[in-house]
Amino acid sequence: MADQTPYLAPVFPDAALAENPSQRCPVVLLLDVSASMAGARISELNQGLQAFKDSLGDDPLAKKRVDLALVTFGAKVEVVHEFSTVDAWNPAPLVAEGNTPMGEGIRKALEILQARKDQYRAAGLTPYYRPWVFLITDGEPTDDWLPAAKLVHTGHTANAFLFFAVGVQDANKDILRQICPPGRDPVNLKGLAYRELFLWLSSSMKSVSRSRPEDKVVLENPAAPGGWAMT
Amino acid sequence: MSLETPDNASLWRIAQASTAGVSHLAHHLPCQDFALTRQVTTPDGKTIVFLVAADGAGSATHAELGAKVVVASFLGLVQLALEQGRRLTDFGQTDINHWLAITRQAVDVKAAELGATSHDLAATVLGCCIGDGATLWWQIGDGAIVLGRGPGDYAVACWPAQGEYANETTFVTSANAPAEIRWGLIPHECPRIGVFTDGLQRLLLDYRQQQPVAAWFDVQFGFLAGLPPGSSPTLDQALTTLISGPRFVDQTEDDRTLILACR
Repeated sequence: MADQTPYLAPVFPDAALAENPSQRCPVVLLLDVSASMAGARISELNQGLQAFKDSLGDDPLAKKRVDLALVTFGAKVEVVHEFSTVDAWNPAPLVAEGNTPMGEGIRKALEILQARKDQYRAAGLTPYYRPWVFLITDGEPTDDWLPAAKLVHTGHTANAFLFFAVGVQDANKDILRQICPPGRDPVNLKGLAYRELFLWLSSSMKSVSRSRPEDKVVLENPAAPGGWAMT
Repeated sequence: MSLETPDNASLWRIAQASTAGVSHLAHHLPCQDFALTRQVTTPDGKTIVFLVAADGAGSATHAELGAKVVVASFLGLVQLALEQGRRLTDFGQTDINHWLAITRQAVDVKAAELGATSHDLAATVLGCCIGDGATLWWQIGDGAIVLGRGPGDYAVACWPAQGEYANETTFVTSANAPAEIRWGLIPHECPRIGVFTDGLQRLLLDYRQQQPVAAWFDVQFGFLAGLPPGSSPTLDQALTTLISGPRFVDQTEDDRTLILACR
């Protein structure tokens, strides 16, 4: 090249991007707070929930995307916390009392989930991530749970959500197995490893909330050594 | 007819960039996007521009390779058809189906060589071909193609991700790809084109208005139009710098590919 002039590398201008709302990743925690949970169980559960919130809050994407609700069943079935992002999530400590109306609890969880999906659609918040329903119990249903089990199976078949069940200590595993969708057996909590369970759940939600199209999100095996589950 | 690489008589400016997302870097995955652009001149002096990009599926073990096979196949097939005397304005559903079928075969062959399945090479595709008085675009899966007629005047060829769930899309290798391929033939040459994979779609498209972010494209195309015609590694590097900047990195963890072409 004969005529060398100094060449300035081009720099594309900085300009504002779209400000779209974050894609939501709905999760319903469905927790047994019946009288049998009193003592160490409820206290470990409450600490586990706190660890869950802290861990999710540390993740920039999960913080924006995970949309968390809490339903409990015990003396009554209660939506303790409506769907919200982690920042706004601050349920009061859970108190153990009453029976185990698990069937009604499941119905309530699926009902608020459906309502949330409708809200997403109305607000243009589609697509969203596949919702998770996460049930933890230490007992057995004291109400008619069969219709609820049917709702779980139908929803699972229709791909409406992923349903996970965790049995703590004396939980009735036979009934839990019948509630769970085929091929998704309940998992047994190792001792009272609630904290480990919730840290695993947090880590799983982080993976899901950053997953790419058609990714099969690989979850850490909770029954691996050091994990919270036992077989 | 043979297609020649044009001298600088062409007025097109083309920049392309692909960069790995932080989630890929964290998992030591390569960038699984791939893009190719090409500018050719027909013997009668018409310029034809090809812009093709693909996003390899994060779950596919050979996604990076799948994206390359898909991009090279589509680009090669369209160019071959033009070299055989077809006109851009003549293309239709039969051609699109044919290109997809051949590309799926190419993926199968590559998968067999690797002892893998075609799903291990899963990738989306976004393609656009401009010239001879027409703009042809096609797309399988998410990502988007923005077609502009001029400042402030942009449209999305096909709005991405119509499904219920965020982490689901269709790939060239998916069973439903032939039914899910979207394409269009516009009877004029769009002077401003943006092609980008899903890592950028929520940054460059306004989901509330269901429109491209016109102000952003205006700024970039305005800048590009002031540069000398053609394409160059320097220009591609500049675009890479742009999409690796804080504005982008803060808002997406995914691989990002962007092609901008204007004249």
